[in-house]
Amino acid sequence: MFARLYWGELRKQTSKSVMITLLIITAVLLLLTAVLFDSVNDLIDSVADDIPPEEGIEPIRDSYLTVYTPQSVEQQLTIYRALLDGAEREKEELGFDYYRNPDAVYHYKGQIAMLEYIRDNELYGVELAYASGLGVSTGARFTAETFVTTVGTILLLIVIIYAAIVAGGTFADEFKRGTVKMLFIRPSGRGTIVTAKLVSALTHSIAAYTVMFALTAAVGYAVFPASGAQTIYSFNNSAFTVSSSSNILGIMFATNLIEVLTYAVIAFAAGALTRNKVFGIVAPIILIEVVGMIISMFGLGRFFITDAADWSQFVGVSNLPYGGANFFISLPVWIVWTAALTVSAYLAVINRDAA
Amino acid sequence: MDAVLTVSGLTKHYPARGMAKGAAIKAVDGISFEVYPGEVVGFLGPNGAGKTTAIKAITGLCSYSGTVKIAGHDLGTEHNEALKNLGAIVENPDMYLNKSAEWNLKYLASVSDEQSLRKGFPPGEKLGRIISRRVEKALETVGLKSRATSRVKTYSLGMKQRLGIAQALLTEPKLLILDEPANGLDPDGIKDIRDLVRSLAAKNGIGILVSSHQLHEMQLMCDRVLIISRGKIVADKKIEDLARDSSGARRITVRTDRAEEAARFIGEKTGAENIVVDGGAVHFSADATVAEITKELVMAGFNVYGVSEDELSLEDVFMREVHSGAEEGENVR
Ligand SMILES: Nc1ncnc2c1ncn2[C@@H]1O[C@H](COP(=O)(O)OP(=O)(O)OP(=O)(O)O)[C@@H](O)[C@H]1O
Ligand SMILES: [Mg+2]
Repeated sequence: MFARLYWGELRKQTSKSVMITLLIITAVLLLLTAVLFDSVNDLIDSVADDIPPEEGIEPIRDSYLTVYTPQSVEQQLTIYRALLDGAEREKEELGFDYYRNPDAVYHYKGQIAMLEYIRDNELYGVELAYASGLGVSTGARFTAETFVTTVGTILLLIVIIYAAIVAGGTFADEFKRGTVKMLFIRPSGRGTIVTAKLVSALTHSIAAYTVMFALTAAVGYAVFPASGAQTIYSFNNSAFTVSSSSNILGIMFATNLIEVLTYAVIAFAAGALTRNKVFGIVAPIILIEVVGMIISMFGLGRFFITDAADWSQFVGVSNLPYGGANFFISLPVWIVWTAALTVSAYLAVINRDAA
Repeated sequence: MDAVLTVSGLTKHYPARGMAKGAAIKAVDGISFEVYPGEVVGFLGPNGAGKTTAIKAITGLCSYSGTVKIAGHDLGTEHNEALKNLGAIVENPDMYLNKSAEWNLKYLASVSDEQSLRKGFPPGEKLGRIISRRVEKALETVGLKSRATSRVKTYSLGMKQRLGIAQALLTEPKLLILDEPANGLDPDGIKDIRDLVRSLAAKNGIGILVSSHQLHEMQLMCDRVLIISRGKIVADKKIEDLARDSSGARRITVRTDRAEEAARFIGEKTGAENIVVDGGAVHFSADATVAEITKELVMAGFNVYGVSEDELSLEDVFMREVHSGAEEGENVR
């Protein structure tokens, strides 16, 4: 029963016009960004060619890569320890107000942990790039990695909107047309229908993001050179590793997908609760961002779903999550919110009069 | 024979917004009835009587109190088992307008249970084939085969009603519920639906509950009518019993120039009951003969254009049961 309902929903939720619009937007975005980045690269090259190579000055195209020495690591450790001291003192003074701002203590602790990792593993004399939630620093010139991660971040917003349209509209449409009655008098049970609709909307969201991300990666690697620079990856400021900069693609894909799916669940619940397309689609995106901002002003940002769904902030040491946040707080917070939204969607559909 | 639908003490109250606290709209107020296989039962009542609400409860679309059993299965406790025996149009035929009739029916089949779909087909037959056959048959039954692949958006109202019936018939249910299937149809369309309903009951033994406020239509289509007014069933009559009113008296109609005056006169002179004035006509129940009444009226100086003994129509029953005693208005108490 579920399988047939699921396929039916998949077909129904497929809107050719929306999909074509999505593809056109992606294509335009890819084209414009590729042209822009390519001309910036040309500009950098022409400037770099004009500067005669000089002893002691590193070539401009590699300026974002860092080469550590034992001395530079110790030097920076001293600086960051002092900064951490200051941040910790401030945290004590501010009390609860501290949580209204990005978490400096978390940030400096991460920097220190990374430097200690470099020291312990003697990563001296190697050109290193950093990975962060927003991408990877692979030098001044745009590389395939920087292209994909930059466009990927913009794509995230577009796919969130698509996910909200599909997930938020699925019940609203059915109620508006009255076809929900036809569905509910079939002997499949309302719970099964909710599951089929939710899983189908999530499938659409995953498929849309996967296709768009794959297209971006294809264009990125076709037009720009892969950097492949040795890159420091960190997770939750505590686990570190060094590997090729291209691994950022997988990390970004995964963390963005979590965000897309979260917004799909939010829109789905809003649509099922309000039975209204506007509230199901537009409201969650706007409302939840506004609510998220207000909540974080009260120092509780880490307990709200918008912040907890953004796992990219736990990749890389340069990010500044909200005060008190870390992955092991966000994960349960995220689970509780998504579960609560899903359950409320079920309850709203199963217990309320359908007509 | 076991009833295909058993409703007892069915009640649905809506909270009355903007009215006294605790007040409720008693949309359906403790109705009980049964529908048997092969029987066409009319659900007749004025706007707002509670027909659609009762149908929503019986089809499991809204919460209710009381019990509903479809083919012996309690809707409350064996929801899916009960619904396997049901086909229905609730309020309007609901469909995906941007898709074809064929698509709509196939989709509906895809969300129906396999057991019901396979009924009457040899075991081992491919489900896809069964669905195609069922869709074809349903389209044929309602005469939509030639337009099966056009978008429903392009259909006339009558075609949509027919597609609605095709949807309801798709899994060959034991109970068919149609909420105002003749709504908006022309006389030909109404006749088509009537013939279809009658033949489904007679040939396929389906128990059918049809709601309407088209009195004449109900009289032609149904074996029995339930008259519902302000949430309550006020009459439950076989069509053949309609010829007489509750006391068994004859119904007489007089056409005259001064109807109001004539009505008063007839009431005094003959002890007639249930006198209804309708334009130039006076309807009443009396034991007197046509000849006697004509004589009395002419002697009293009325211009009599016609006196006839009528079969008691559904309209009369309807008017009498719905308007007797209780005051008009919303069913709010
Ligand atoms: N969702 C609702 N909330 C509140 N009251 C409702 C609701 N649905 C119906 N009602 C009320 O219940 C009563 C019965 O309505 P219902 O739609 O069942 O009547 P009906 O007999 O089908 O009328 P019609 O012939 O106009 O279709 C009406 O007074 C109506 O206002
Ligand atoms: Mg109605």
